[in-house]
Amino acid sequence: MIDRKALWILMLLFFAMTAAAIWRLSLLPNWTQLPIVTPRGPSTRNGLVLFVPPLSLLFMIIIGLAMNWLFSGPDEAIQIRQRRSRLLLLGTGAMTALAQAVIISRSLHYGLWLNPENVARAVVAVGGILTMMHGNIVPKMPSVSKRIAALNLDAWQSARSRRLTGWMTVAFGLAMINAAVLLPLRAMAPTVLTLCVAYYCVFIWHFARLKRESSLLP
Amino acid sequence: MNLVFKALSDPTRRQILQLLRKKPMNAGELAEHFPIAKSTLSAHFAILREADLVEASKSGTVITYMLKASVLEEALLAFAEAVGVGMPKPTPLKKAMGKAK
Repeated sequence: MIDRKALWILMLLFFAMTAAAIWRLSLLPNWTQLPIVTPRGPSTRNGLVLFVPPLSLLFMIIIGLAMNWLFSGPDEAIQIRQRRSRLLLLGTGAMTALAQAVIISRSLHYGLWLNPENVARAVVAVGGILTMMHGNIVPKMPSVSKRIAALNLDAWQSARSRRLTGWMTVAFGLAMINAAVLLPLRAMAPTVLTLCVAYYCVFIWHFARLKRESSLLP
Repeated sequence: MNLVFKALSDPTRRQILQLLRKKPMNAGELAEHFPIAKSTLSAHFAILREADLVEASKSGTVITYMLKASVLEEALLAFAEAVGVGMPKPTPLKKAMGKAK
């Protein structure tokens, strides 16, 4: 969920990142040939790679807004949920901005002392820490109802779902940190993606199981 | 965080939390598991609520308690349980033998 303050900050970041990508592309004679300095020497990439960070930020904003629409309940509960999600959203926003800044600066031959592999590892590790911090407080989030009736659980089932989600999110964050530290760069993205798919599969399976159970509440 | 440590330092309160991990319970159901006065149990509930470890919902005259612990708090609960924080220390073997004589 996303509150107004976080929404404004992320929207500003998105427009700034998109403007920076367009500006960098405008300097190129051929936008499919973006010069990149890799540790193995100079190389070229498709210029559209510059739009990956702002688009992932936009995707995150859309997910946040979709959650705002999906959850309904007392204002206080909604505000608590939004406030508790702020750190993850803003932290992820800052990480995507940093990733784009590194790509642009290296394409302009600035900041060559920065090892892009280490930057990528640091971004994933910080992402893992933020994920763990968010996962820790998920079980404490207040219970709210959803606009789609089929997705509603009773208070106890909802608390159990949040508990599992919290533990899984912390484990996912820990796995991200381990992947950032231990795995070769090439294996990092597929590993994180596989874990992400497994995370959602377990979540859906657990939700379906809870949905079949009868309520324990009076 | 001090409130959480205080709440988790007592074996009775930890046992209440362990019971609430399994299912939501009302005060009466919880009282069946402890040979202590209801007023003492109420004091334990108050401490757990103050530490934001349980959530109480009232329906009619019945108050139902549910676990509301973060991942870290649950890990601390498991740790305190494993270490036996707040439990009476076991009597050393020599002393026990002496007493038996």
